[in-house]
Amino acid sequence: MSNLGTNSAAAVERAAPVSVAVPEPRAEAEGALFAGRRTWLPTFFFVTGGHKCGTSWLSWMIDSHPQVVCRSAGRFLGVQGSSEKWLNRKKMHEWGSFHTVAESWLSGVSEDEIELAMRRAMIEAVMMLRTPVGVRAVGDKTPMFYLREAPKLKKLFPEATLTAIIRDGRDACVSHAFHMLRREEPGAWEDDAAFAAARAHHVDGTGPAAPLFNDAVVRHTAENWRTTARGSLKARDTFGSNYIGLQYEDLLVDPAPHLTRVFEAIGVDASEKTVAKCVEANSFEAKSGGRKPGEADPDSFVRKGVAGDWKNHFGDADRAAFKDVAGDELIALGYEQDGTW
Amino acid sequence: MIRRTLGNMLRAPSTGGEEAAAAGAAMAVEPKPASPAHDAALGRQMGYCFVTGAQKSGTTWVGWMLREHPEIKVRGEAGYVGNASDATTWINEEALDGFLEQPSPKRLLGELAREDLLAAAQRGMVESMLRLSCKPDAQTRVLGDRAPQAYCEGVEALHRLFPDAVYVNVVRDGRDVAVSNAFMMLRNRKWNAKSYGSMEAGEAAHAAHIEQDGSAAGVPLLGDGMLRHYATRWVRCIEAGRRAQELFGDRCVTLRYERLLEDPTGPVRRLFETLGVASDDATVAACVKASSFESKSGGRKRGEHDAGSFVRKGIAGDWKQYFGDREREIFNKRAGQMLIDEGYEASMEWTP
Repeated sequence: MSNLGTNSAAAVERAAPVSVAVPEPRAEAEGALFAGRRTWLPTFFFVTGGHKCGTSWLSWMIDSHPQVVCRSAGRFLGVQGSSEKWLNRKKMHEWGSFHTVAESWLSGVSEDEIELAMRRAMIEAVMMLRTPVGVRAVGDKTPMFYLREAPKLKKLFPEATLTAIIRDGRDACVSHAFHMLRREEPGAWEDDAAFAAARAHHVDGTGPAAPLFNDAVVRHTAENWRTTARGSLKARDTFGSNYIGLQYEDLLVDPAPHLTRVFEAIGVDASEKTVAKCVEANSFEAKSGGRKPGEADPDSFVRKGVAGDWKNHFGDADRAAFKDVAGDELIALGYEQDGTW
Repeated sequence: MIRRTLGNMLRAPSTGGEEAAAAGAAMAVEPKPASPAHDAALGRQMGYCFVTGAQKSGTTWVGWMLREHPEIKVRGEAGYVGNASDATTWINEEALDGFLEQPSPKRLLGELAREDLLAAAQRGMVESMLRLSCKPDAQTRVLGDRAPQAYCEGVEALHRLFPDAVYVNVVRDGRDVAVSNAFMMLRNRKWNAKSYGSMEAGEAAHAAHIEQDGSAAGVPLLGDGMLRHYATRWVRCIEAGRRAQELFGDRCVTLRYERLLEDPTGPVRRLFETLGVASDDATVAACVKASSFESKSGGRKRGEHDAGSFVRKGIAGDWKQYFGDREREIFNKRAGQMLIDEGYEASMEWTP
């Protein structure tokens, strides 16, 4: 199941390796010059994927690496308040037109280049806030939006690795349905009574049997998943060798090789020992407080941790609805051979 | 307060800082650079340095000496703070507030104060601009800008953004500053009606002191208006230097032009030490020699005047040729006490 991860040669096309001096200890000594300030640059990377497709698990594992910080949902692109509007272009260009600046500082640097650098600088600054001293790679996980805005992200961070994770859309649908019930966010349900019955049965375990979702919910989540699936194919083209496409089902089998690939791409220690530590620290057992995968707790963010749970919840009508919306994408991503499932 | 919170914010590790540093030191990594400038800065500690002082105090000379150092890239005159469209204005604050209103930044940044985020983003832009322009290479350890006046006017803002920077303050006798400014103004034909009382008076001063048509004796170099202006500005810069001393502490380095004239070696060595770059005899000597008056003036010795040159005369006390009772009275009114405070005179009764 590796339709997404086409570039198995994850040994990304890089510029020749640079020899890099690690910040010297003297800089950390008490009273030393510049102590405590973030005056060096780490490698930047981004993690994305579909809603309820394992982006959190993936980013937790990456964040567990001692040289890496990977935070959640910076949403630097594509949403209200995102970085696109942070730059006051008028003022910056006013400064850039001073003769001492235009003729000296910025001679030979185009306006576009400067603007791009400033937009990037602001995102970097926010990403680097509160990152511990010595961190080599800093990332942000934002589901969906980095797929949708992949071209903009690529323009700002041409060297960055984008890792995207997706899972079987039907499982994403089931997971999302539980997520809605747990958080009591009816969203697409459009039927409060049915939502309450579903919540009572599936989360509280009190009411009589009720469907986990209705047609509107299936269609809505299938549409979201379709957007993700298509977005991931486009992002793969946009990022080329800097794109790592992962599938949740592969990670369930063994996350280690995939994590290794990510660590290698972002230029940090990818030794077996380090990878194993990151995997163990974020296993289903570790994160669920001791449950084994498959032992569901409908009231937990770490609910069940398996593939194929959709078979327990999809009725004929749900299958038809999902096929109608995203059947082609299921095939394109290798989850089905054809439409006869 | 800002300094405290910003410091904490940038220092407080969320997880495993020491472990990370140890792991980083133990292994070779292959980071992926975005550009040659990014490449050179990647994964390395970079220091920042800002050179300022009243205009015509010798900041250019200091900048030359810094630039000769293989580990320092200092340019001029960007003026990242201290003017109306400086780097503190490049952020659309409304948009940033919109970002902060989202639920995710709160998760991302915790109890981060708005002004801290703003300062971090502003600093980030300046750092990026410095990298773009200075083009650091594998040896570079310090990036900086030299801008007279700007970092005096903007000393508070600079400290808010770069509390870790080295602040280099060049101080020179305010009367020589005024004389040097007058020559520059005349050379560049930048006087206005207020400078000498009329535009024609400026023409006469230009003829006398730049073209040197022989009329110098009767035509003063310094008009009333300009002298008042230079004296006031000089006082403001000295005051900013004192504020910088409070704010930057040991990282504020004051260089006296008159002391540099005697021999820059000692002061320049201390400056390099503060910047944390090589300060051995050979390095210091090379930086001093390449930036000497003789090197920069095309072979003239100090005191050999060329009114048409940026490197005009290069001495202390030139004011004595141009100051009479009128000039002293005007200058004293604005800056007499400061001359005494700075040790240039013992009383207001000084004469050439």
